[in-house]
Amino acid sequence: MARVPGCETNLLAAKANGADLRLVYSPLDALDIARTNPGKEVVFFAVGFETTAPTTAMTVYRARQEGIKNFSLLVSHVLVPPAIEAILSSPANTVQGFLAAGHVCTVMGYEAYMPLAEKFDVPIVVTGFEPVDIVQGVYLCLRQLEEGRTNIRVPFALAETRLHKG
Amino acid sequence: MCLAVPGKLLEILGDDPLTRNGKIAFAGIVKEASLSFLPEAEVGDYVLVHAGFAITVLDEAEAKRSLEELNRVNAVKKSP
Repeated sequence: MARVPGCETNLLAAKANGADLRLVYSPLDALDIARTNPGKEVVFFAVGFETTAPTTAMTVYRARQEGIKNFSLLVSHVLVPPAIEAILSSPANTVQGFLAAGHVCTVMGYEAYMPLAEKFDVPIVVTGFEPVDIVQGVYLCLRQLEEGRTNIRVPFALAETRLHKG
Repeated sequence: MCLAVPGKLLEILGDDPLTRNGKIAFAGIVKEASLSFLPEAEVGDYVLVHAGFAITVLDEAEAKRSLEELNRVNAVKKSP
């Protein structure tokens, strides 16, 4: 994120020019910085997909709970399904199947992918990050393509999670 | 997109379900993460951690099922 070009500069260049830029792993780390630097206004640049948005929300909740006044956010969260739709709508598109990130589905479920699979006739397989998960995802994706079927496949654990949520 | 990492919950710090943290063992290191989203998490659970927050409880059986699926892939490869 620090290297992403802006209109005039990027965050890393701004840091080189003296801006106080810190890289954090979690929004809670940014809140820690605000807690320990009450004289400074700390702005957390909140980016990320569906999985990251609730962590931003919880950080706001905690800041309010603790009465931390020098903490604010520049919120720029994004959604996965519109990004997939943009790729599939492109005349130059050659993508025939998708591995959908499992942790995103942990937060949003997989229902939002169903209209995409139907409209564009592509397999979308919800997949974890372990090597075995990826291999399994590629396998399920290829099997659908070879059999001429396209729908959503959800490996066991996520489907169970959905059942538990009712 | 950032990855989510599975780890084992070793210890729970705090009582308030909304603010409690957990000590979580990943491959080789122990880190603290928020358990805000997992009021049901208990010591010994396997959890998926993303951006400092545990976002879901995994179970060991899931990993075994994934391995079984891989074995099926191997079986397909071996069949003529």
